[in-house]
Amino acid sequence: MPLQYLSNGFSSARSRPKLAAILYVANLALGLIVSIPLFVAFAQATAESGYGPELAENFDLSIWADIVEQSGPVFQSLISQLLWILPLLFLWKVASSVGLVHALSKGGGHSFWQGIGKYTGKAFVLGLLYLVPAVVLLIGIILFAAILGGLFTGEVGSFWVQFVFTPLVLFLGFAFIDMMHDFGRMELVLGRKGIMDSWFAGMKWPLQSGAANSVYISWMMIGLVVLLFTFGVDFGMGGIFLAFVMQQLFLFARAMVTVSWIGSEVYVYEAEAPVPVSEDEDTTY
Amino acid sequence: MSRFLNVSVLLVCFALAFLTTSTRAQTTTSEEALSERRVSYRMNVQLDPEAKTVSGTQRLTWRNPDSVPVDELQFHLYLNAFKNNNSTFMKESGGIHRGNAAKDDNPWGGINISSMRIADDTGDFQPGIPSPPDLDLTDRIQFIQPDDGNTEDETVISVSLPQSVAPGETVALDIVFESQLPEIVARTGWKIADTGNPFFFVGQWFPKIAVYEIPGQRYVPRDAEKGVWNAHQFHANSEFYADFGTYDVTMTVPEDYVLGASGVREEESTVDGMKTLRYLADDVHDFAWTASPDYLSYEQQWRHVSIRALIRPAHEGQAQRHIDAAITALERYDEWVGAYPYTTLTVVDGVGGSNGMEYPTLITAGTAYGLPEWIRPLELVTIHEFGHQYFYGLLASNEFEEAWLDEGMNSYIETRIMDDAYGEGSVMEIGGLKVGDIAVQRLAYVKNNPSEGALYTRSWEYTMGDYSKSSYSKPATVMNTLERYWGWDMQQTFLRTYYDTWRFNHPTTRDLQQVAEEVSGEDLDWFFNQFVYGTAVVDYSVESISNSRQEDDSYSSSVRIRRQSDGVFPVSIQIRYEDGSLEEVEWTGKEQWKDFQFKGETRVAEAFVDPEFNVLLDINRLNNRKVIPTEASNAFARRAQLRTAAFLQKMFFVLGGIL
Repeated sequence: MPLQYLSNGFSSARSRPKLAAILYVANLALGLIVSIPLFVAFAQATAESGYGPELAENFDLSIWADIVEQSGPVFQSLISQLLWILPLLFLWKVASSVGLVHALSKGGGHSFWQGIGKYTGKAFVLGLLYLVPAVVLLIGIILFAAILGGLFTGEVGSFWVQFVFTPLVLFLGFAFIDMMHDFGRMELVLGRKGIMDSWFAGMKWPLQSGAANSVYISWMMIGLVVLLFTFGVDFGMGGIFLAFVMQQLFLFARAMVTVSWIGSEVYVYEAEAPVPVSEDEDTTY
Repeated sequence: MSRFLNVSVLLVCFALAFLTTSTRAQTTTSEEALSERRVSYRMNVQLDPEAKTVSGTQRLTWRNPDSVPVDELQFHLYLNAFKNNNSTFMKESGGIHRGNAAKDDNPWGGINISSMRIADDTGDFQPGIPSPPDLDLTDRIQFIQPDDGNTEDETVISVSLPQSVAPGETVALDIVFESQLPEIVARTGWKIADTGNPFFFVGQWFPKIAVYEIPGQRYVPRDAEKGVWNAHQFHANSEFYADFGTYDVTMTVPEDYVLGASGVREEESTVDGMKTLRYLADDVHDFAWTASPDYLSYEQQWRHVSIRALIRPAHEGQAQRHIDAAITALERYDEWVGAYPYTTLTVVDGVGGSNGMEYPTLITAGTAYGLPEWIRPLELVTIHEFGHQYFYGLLASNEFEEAWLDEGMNSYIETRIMDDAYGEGSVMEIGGLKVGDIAVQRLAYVKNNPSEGALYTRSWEYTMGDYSKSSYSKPATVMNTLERYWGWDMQQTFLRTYYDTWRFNHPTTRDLQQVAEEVSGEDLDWFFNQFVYGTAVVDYSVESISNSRQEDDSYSSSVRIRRQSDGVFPVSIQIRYEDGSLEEVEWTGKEQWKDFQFKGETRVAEAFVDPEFNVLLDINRLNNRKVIPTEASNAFARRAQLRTAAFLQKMFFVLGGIL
């Protein structure tokens, strides 16, 4: 059955490639916002220095140090841009998720943008509510890690607790919250529930549905593999344009994974929770 | 007793004496004394793991090297730096040494001398026997503060002798002392390890006589009437200085402890749950030891050197890395500088703040569980600390006054060994990111207030932060630049001559310069005055390139090179024409700027100061090079942009959800 959900999710994504394209383009736009000033800074520092072609091929710590020294203010301003990019990213994650759920619901063809317009506000509040279990879980993990740290006091034990177990549990814990969040949004959009009801109902899904867990973990692993391939291209080929293009293909594939992922979760939700009859909506993007 | 018995006893005694002599462990490669051996220590001490004390007796023999009588002795009591909050060390350091704090709740350290007397016999020291008043020196001990007059500092003592030591004669002292070890600070003391077991690193732990410098030695004028004691208080930024001699040390520790020490193990016996080990070390100027029930011992022979690694259980898998790094250093020092004269080397994987320290034939390294092989702090520290067997051990400079001669020269060779043995990414190598040791040391200098902190500065007179830069990274960069200035062959000749001339002695900066000038036949004042005694900063840049077409269709070009700072260093300037041809000109670098004129069939497309990167002292490499606008390239900026954009895209996917 999970395989069927995965297949259905992928079919949904394949039949609506524009959804993946929207995610991909938004992602690329954010990346460019930061990287274009970087280009200007590097160009000013190196274009007439004669080092450009060599630096493009090989890392040179000495020259890098000089560039960082010379362009320090630019780097600082780029880092400060994260102050608005990260909240924007969170908002986009909320909006695009409800848009996807809306667009991928039973029968398909519903509007991605209308879903955003209709549910983003509520979904934003819902997202803030999920910070509560996230914080509770974080505190729990920290306490548990501290207890483990007390039990495994040696250097070897500390290594495994600090560098392996705790990061792994944190990762899984936040995957757990993220999954609740996914299904909470479905309760909101597809179940037509209120914010609080959606919040509570979303939290039950990881505990009550094996299919939901299977689908989430499967797509998470597939997403990881796709990203690893992308990193592999970067490590293997560096910053040449071909490598950038190849990475964009993988990143588009990663966007497809996101759409498939939500699509599969929608299938699980619709199979295991009765969905109210959807309203007639247009099918434009 | 019959005559036969008497003869037998004599024969047995003779045989035993012969055996004792002939089987005495060989501490160096020579049967002869390699150093002047002005001092001799015989100590018998016991470790009390509960009280964290080392107590026992010391028979010190000191020979007056002067041509006039000496009526005063001076000693270092280094552990007294941790005796109270008002010692010079604690005041200067704020109680924190390289990140390791001497906390208020730590048991303090210190050395207490309960008895000091002139030995009245040549036999073994018999503590507890009252000595005649004229031989008892205990009441004559006075704390002195030669550096800062801080009366609460008790790290140096002066003892006036009731009778002068005649020139060339020796005086033997019997000292009863107890050393309270601190919880580890400044690389000495105790710690309860993560296994729950105690760990002891016993360094700078005994009353150690200072160096009496005779006229002509180091900076004492040759025409001085008499020599002087060179003793300094223990400072936050200083290490040590002592005379060469022999050590015969017997240590008693709990039976289950594994012990490592300077020198060679001569005897070992166990009685009533306590283990007694006797170590001999000759032609060295210090003695340190370590003990813990946790150590795992690994041994490997390299030529005449028996290498022993004492490894903590958590780092068992890295034992061979320690030994391999030591061999890497041994091989290259042997080839580049000179032979390692000792027969042992012990590499200790210590706990926390005990790591990264050198003592004769015993060094501490330090690592972490799970350390991947592509990050090499373990190798770097092991090679660095081994290097101190030369620059500190054999070439025993005064670390208080001229720290760069040991730390800096050693850091220079360390960079050479690291990059030679492990390649371009000797410090770290991950993906395409390779970080070498020479580059790291250079950056630690050029990007850290390069105009402050001369190499030739007394350690405690550096302002905060300058000691490390000026004792380690800057001299490494200075020496790497010198090597590139006159070539590796000359550099090797210089290093070997310096070693051959000054091993088992106390060379100074002046001596090092003298050797450099002798081997090269060049007056090097210009170099030493700027970069050793001074703080000159080198920074050359290409300011402009201009081309003008001549009536005969040729081009007249002008390149202006500017000296941006006060440092002067001869540089070569490479000119590339548009047709790809190259031309190189030399410049003394003395003028503030200089216009170089060129004439050619095509325009000058690029000017590059020091294209081979020989002058590592140049603090800004980016401005050393310039191309004309038509050859400007955004290749690097574009690639950096593309990589950054793709990286951020990936990160946004990760941050936007769970992968």
